[in-house]
Amino acid sequence: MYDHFVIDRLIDLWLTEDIGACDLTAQTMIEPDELGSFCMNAREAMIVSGIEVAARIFKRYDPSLEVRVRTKEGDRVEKGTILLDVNGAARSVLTTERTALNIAQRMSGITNETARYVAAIAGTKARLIDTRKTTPGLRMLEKHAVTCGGGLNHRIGLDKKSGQIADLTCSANCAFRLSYSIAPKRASYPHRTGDW
Amino acid sequence: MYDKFAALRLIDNWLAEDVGFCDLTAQLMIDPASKATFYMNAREPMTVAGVDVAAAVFTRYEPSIKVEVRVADGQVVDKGAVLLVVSGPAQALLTAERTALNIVQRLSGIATETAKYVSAISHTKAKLLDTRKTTPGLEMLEKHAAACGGSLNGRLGLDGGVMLKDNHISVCGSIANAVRIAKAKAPTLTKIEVECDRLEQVSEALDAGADVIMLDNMSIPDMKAAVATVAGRAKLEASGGIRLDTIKAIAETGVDYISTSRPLQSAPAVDIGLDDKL
Repeated sequence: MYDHFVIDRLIDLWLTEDIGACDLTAQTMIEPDELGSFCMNAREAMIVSGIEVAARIFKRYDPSLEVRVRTKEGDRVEKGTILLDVNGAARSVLTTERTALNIAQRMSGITNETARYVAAIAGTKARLIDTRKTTPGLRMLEKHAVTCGGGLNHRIGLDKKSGQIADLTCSANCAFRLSYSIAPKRASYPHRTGDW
Repeated sequence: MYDKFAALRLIDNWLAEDVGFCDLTAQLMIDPASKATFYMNAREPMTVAGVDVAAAVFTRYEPSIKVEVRVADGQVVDKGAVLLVVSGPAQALLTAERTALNIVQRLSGIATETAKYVSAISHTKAKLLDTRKTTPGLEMLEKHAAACGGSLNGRLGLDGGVMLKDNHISVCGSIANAVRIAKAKAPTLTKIEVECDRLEQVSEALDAGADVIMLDNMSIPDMKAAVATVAGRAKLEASGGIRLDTIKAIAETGVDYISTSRPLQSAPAVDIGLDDKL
């Protein structure tokens, strides 16, 4: 549960931070009219969240990109599942790729970790509740990721009604590997995403 | 290394996100005139990062809060160390507390995890490098945290260097052509890195004049061969699947850099609390 208008403000900050003056590699190496077809793949089994946000990053940066989300938030998917595909200007996709992957990886990481705790108490009447120990700036999205894993949200912020008291140390850190199989028109062999 | 002006912009967003209309609990329960002093305590040993950011969270929210920072970013501290002392209006301290703790816990977690990797390769000439696999919105501060743990920073962002991957190379026809185009167009102080996953590409990248050659997921024997081939004429960066139990052998091949996202992406938050006593 999050607001799309508010998310667009965050996306603007993220992209501005990473891009700086410009994506030197994309702008020096990729022609503006170069088109590409890209898929975001789950490289391990996972419960996904943040795919809608990832999709929004592409569209926010370049509205001409065609993005198709192929999973629902909270879906359990197998290794190799295509989470979304994106078609259009290769430059735009390559510039936004890392930011889109970073947020989807982080959120899906939290969702997976949450689901393990939820499973451990299934069969009792206890419900799992998150906390305000969230990454500054990512409150709404991390709490959304918790609900995708079956957890409930405690206070969203300091001004909201407080529910029960719970002490969940939410230190889920995503070790998930999502990546693109990038196949721009003229590229003939599989792409491997670098580490930078 | 980060810009304080830029950090204040982030802090404003974080506080606005958490506070919403107001901190209901603080405003209902705490007398506006009441004053307090709190100590930020390390509850486990750690390499500290973000203590200045945490201090700025308090003073940005309420400039009358006095903060005494007791440790420097990058310092290794024991359990029980006092990181900072804050004094001022109790309402404001309690409202800002969680945001300050969240950021210093996350950044110190990254610094502490990074330091383990740095320590594992400290007997070699290889230096650890971070990546751009950072939390969106925290790239600047997470890279600062990695540096506090003893890592070098890779590109700070997309404008910090040219990274040629197989897609770029295939579009340009060859490594030589790709590097030539990059050198012709990029700003003069910008470095060019070529990602190689096969040994023959390393020679091509070297001949093309690449500043840095990435050895992507190569075997230890191949990395040693690359070190012998390049013989110091370009920097070599090992990358891909780096783990704490594999990094030592990679460093001993003689590469210059080892880049990994692992301390950024999988560092647990360290335990830091705000207490009303030492």
